[in-house]
Amino acid sequence: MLAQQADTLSEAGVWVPGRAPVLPARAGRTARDGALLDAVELGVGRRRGVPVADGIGARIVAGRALAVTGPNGAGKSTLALTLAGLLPEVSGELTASRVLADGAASSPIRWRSRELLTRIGTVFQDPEHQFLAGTVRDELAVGPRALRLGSRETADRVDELLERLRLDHLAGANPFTLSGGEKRRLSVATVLVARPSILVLDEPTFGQDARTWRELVALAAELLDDGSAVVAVTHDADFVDVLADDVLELGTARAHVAARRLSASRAARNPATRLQQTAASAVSGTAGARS
Amino acid sequence: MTLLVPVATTRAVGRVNPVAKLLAAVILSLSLLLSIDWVSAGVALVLEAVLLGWAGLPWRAFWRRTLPLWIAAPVSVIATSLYGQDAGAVIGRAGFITVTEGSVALAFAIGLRILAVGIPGIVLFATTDPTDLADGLGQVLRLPARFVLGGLAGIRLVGLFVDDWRQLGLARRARGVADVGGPIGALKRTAGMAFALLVLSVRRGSKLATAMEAKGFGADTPRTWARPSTFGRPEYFLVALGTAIAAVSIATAIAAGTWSFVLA
Ligand SMILES: Nc1ncnc2c1ncn2[C@@H]1O[C@H](COP(=O)(O)OP(=O)(O)OP(=O)(O)O)[C@@H](O)[C@H]1O
Ligand SMILES: [Mg+2]
Repeated sequence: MLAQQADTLSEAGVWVPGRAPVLPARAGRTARDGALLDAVELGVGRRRGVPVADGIGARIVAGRALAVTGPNGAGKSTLALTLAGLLPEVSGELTASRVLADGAASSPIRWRSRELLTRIGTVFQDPEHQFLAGTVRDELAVGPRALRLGSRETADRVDELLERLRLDHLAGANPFTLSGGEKRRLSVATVLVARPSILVLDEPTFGQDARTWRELVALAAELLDDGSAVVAVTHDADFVDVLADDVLELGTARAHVAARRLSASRAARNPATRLQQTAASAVSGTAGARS
Repeated sequence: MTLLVPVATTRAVGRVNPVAKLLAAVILSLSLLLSIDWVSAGVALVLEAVLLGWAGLPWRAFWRRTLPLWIAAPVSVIATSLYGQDAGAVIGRAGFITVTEGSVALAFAIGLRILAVGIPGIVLFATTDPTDLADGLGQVLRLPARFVLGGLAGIRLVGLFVDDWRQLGLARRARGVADVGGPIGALKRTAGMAFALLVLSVRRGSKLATAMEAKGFGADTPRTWARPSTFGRPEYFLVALGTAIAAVSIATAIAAGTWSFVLA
């Protein structure tokens, strides 16, 4: 019974055990050699002089996705906020490449708020922290307005994202009244609307149904194909499997990026191979439920 | 905001039931408010100062936490000297301001009193964990559990406010609006953040209320407590100490003839 209906259920957004969500087919990715951000011996923390994680080495490259994993409290969110130019580094160095800086300072924390918008976009762990406007439409227009885009350009970008993230019927709603999944989609959209070169996501798939999950992954994959970089803090093994080129595990003595075996990650991005992996995980009994 | 976090101490004071601290502080404060004269406040302050060494509060933490008192006390001394009720010999005069012996005495009575009442309260509560206080209020004073734990939850939420506030600030920077509009823009943003914080807190509050309801706080059946709160010798000693300081300071003031009962 479940097996018969699995496709329908999965399509509708239900997590079906043993069934990883099917991804839309994607164009093959061109590997780029554009380092955007370099972290050397980076120490991160909320307060000056008190690192929660240090000795971190990582390079954020255009067209590549970096997954940050590790136990609760390891400092993943703190690292994400530091890479995003929101918290000053506690030790070590975080340097933006000339391409990313594009005339601004080489240290992201010294960028002005508006300069940050087109360079590094951050989706917070809690979407409610980043809502500013009274309606979904206005919320999406905050970024373009700060960038002083014309009203035409703003409307185009906003409409495109509203539709893309299935928020068009909610355009007039207050962001705080949306469901958890809608809030997440909106928070992602508010960042994408400024078209940042780097997208930083903190637990983007937490609590999402299979359909939103699939959309988020597809969206991130598309950005990667377009040459943006993605940094995702996540506990979601499927998400790492499908998307990540590099994995940084915090909470180990010294955190350094381990490039995933290229063949494996490439294979994971290919929907056909992905299905084989699905079959394999069904055999090993991996549950599809996500907390 | 770390001022709201209790100081961990290994001193005996840290283990005394917070209800005893509360009683000692209340007895002392009420007795000192019965009269406004500089002798009783001064004597209490000296005795308190002697006991400070046993309070389990590092000096840095002591100065930081009592800072408001060190500002309020001199300010009220100056204000009362200048504008307080005049009596006795005139010390100085400028325009319609007159400083007299009476107004200066009153000024010092008030200034010392602010310190004598404020310091023990702050010092005793700095080393108190809110959870222990709630346990004591519920078990020793037998206050209703719903009231006590609701209050405790409220105090715990303060820490979350602080985190929320920081996140809201970071998010404004990330959204590209953190440095537009100059001072007026900054003011507007602060107002916006305050409103967002309010929204977040109201939502968290209603979640909390639901959770408390689910844990049976709406019912009248007696509750059990996970951590027993006891009232024994150290507790009686602390309350006795507070009472003794109050008694000595009042007695000294009466003997010195400065005691003036406020209700008389
Ligand atoms: N606002 C703050 N002030 C001080 N310390 C903080 C603050 N926020 C988090 N921390 C501490 O910093 C450390 C790292 O927190 P962080 O949020 O980066 O962890 P995380 O890896 O993202 O965990 P999770 O998986 O639970 O999201 C934790 O020990 C936490 O207690
Ligand atoms: Mg986190």
